[in-house]
This record gives sequence, structure tokens and C-alpha cells, in this order.
Amino acid sequence: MTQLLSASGDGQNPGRAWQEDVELMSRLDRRDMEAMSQLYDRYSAMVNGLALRITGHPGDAAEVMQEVFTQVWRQAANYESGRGSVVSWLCTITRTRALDLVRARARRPALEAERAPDDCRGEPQDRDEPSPEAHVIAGQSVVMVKNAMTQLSAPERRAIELAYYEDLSHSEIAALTGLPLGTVKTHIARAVRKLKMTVEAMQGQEAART
Amino acid sequence: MNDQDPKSTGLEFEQTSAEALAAWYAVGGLSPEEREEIDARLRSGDPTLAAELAKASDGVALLIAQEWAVPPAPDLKERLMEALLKAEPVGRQKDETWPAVASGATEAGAFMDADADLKALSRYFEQAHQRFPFPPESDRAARKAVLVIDMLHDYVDEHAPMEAPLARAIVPALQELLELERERGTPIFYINDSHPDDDRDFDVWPKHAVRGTAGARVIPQLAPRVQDYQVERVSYSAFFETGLEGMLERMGVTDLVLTGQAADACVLGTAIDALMRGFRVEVPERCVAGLTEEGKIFALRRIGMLKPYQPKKRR
Repeated sequence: MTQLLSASGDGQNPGRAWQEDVELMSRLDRRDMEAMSQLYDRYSAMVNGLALRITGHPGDAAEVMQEVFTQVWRQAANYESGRGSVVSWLCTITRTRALDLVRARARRPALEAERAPDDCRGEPQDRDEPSPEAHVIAGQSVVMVKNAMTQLSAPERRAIELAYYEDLSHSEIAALTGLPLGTVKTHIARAVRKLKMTVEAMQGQEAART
Repeated sequence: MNDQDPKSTGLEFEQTSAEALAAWYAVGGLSPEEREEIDARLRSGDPTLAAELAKASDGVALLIAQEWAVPPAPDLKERLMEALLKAEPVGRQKDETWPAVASGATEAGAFMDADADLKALSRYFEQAHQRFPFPPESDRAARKAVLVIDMLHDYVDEHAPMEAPLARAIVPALQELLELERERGTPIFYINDSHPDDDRDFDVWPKHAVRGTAGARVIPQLAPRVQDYQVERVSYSAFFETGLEGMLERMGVTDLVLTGQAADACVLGTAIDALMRGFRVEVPERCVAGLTEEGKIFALRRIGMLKPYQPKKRR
């Protein structure tokens, strides 16, 4: 599974891990280097993976990593929990920086970055085969997340990938896939609704526990 | 959310649910016009849309976290932590060679012609450029970035500790410029004065722009967007003890547009440093404010007569 789900190392609900992240951010704002170290341990693989997916190059991904965590360190005060989780903030910063780099170098990323070069010290998670960590994580929340992923239809997943990773406009996606523009938009909205419902379920589960 | 496909020509935003708008905004792929429409609603304080956007962003983040986990090179963490420690300005000792009082505005007055005004300034630029024209070069190959300097509460608000009253007058023009440049995809850098609470800078200036306080934040009319960059700095130039130069280099930036305040202090300091580093510098007169109007004219004259040292090549 992912670093997100194994974030706390004890297989706890990601809902709780996300709440802990907010506390980490307030410690970062007070220049707590240990908090930075914890945040890095939790999310460096995710940030690196996303940057690699968008840039298609391990060296560029490392550069994006550096920029993302530097920005987080310097601008922790800008994080507002009302605008989403720390994870979503990290994703947004990473995507923006990675797309900036791609545009600056006028290099299109490989559409399928799964074939990562050897020196990237890892491979993106196979969508069918859970990583070894998944086997040590017990709990309903993990099952719930996997269900949400499998609930996305192939066209829904494709529309999200083309918009989010490849920075294509909805019109470009429509042209590429041969679907009407309205259908592309509906696929994206439906997919996000499914993902949101999973997050809400996770958070509800955590609230019931505490 | 309406599960029926919207019209194939696109969307009527007014008729679309906040949930769907938030989903598209979080995933990306909207046209600049659609995005601006949503930005405008968020700026106007639409609580439903803001809440939906938070939820949609979390949903997308879940997908990313689920699918993308590639551990970085093991030594990267150590290098990053070292860099962060160096980037930390807290505890920096003030350079005793800095003058205790900024003299720019006073000097500006001394250098001014009695009849100097902005029309004269325009004529001055024209003459200077006629005398020393730039070699012909394609503007299309320029990679531009906009710097917004110190449009912070502690400078812009009435009765603020470092109040620069003229700064309030440039806000509408600056909003217009930022809107246009964002549509063009130009990177925007907010260069924000930021001091530790016990900075010795406060021996010579009123206490201002203390990191983490409301006074150190950009005024809401010019609030940075999520894609913008924010750079904290401690002295007059945006290049002094910041990572700005490296970021601009990596992005291939060749030209800088300087905006904000004060034209005769931090804008001037930043402009000189930028020119020394080979950036072409443009200072739109409507988008900068001086400590005084004369100071601004003085500063723009100084900047206008200089050319970049070994100008960066436009690709």
C-alpha cells in the first residue's frame, strides 16, 4: 500500500494521520526541525512519486522534492487546515512545481512513467499488487481505500490522469479520447465524488473511534 | 452533482453545482476563463465552494497517495535538512555597515529636477533608449516572472508601523497586471519582508513584518494563489540571502517585472541586484509606489538608465 496508509507505522487509520499532520504544521511554523523530519518521512515517497510521474525524470523529481520541502519549511504558516489536508497541500505544491519544471524545459513527460529508471530507488506501486507494507497493515480503512480505487471506472481514471498528471485541458482530453467534452467533465466529477466519499468515511471512522 | 452529461459545448457555470466545480478545479484541466471564474467566486468568499474544494482536494490527494510512492534517494533527506538549516534566517546578525537611516527618499529629492514629473520620466526613458538601444531581440523568447514586493499589511494598511500611503493607490493596477500575467502562465513571486521577533533591524526601524504575524501577510486584495511563490527576505534586495536566484535560473527566467513598494527602497535594491545578475528589468510605473512620488521618479530613472550585466539569453 502507500506511505500514507503506513504513515504512523502502526497501521492506524489515515484519518488520524491526517489530523496529526495539522499538528506537525504548527510545529513547523515554530521552526521545529524534528517536525520537518517526521513530515519528510511520511510524505517524501509520495512527493517524489508524484514528481516523478509528472516530470518523468528522477533528477527532476529530486529537484522538485527539494523545492517542495523548502517551500513547506518556509511557508508552513500559510497552510490553512480549512482548505484541505496537509497531504492535499503537498500534492498541490508538488504538482505545480513539477509542471513548472516540465514547462520550463519544454519537455513532455513520458505518459507512462511506470518504467522508472533504475536509479530512482524504487518503483511506483503496482496497481494490482500491493506493496509489502500493505500486508502488515490491518484495518478496515485500508480495505475501504482499495475499494474506492477499484470503484473508479477506466475512463474516469484516465480522465483524471490526463488532467492531473499531463496537464491537459478538458477539451484536449475530449479530443484525445474521442469522448464529448461534457462526458469528460462528468467522469472527473464522478471520480472525485467517489474519492471524497472514501475520505469522509475514513474521517467518520476515526471520529467514531475517538 | 448532476450525473447527466452537461452540454457537449462545455458548462454553464451558474447552473453547475459547487461540488462539480470544486472537482474540476482540484483535478485541473479547466480553461483559464473557467478557472478565473472559480477563483473569483473563491475570492468573493463563497463558503460552499471553498468547503467543496477542500473535500475535493483531499479526495484527489488520497488517489495520489494511494498510487504514487517512490522512496527518494536515501541521502536526499540529509542534504535537504542541511539546506533548510542554512536557509533559516533566524539568528542572522545584522551587518553593522548598513546605514542606520534609509536615505533614498532624501537623496531623490536632491537629484530631482524641479519640474520632474511622470511625463518627463517617459521622455527620459525614450531618450535613453534612443541613445543606447538594446540589440534587436525577440520578445517572444523571453521567459518572464513578476515580483510583487512587500504588499504587506505592515506597509500598506493605514496606521501600519511602516505605512507607505502611496502603496494603497497601486492596488487596482497591480490586481489587473497579476490577473493578466496569471492568464499567460507567468510565474508570480511574492517577495515578503519577514523578520524574527527579536531582529536587530528593529533597532533602527519600527517593529514590522514579524514572521507569523498578521502584519507580515500580503494584503487580501493581492492574496497569493496556490500556484504562486512566496519568498521571505530580510533586507532591501529580494536576492539577498534568499533562494530566489536559483529558482529563477531553474525556471529559465530571463526577464523580471518588478512591482510593489517601495520603488525607492526595496524595488530599487532588487532591480540593481537583478541587473547585476543579467535579468532584464521592467518596472511598470502604475504598479510601483514610492515612499514619495519624487523618490519613485528618482528610482525609475536610475533603473531605466541601467542595462543588465551579460543579459540572460532568451531561448
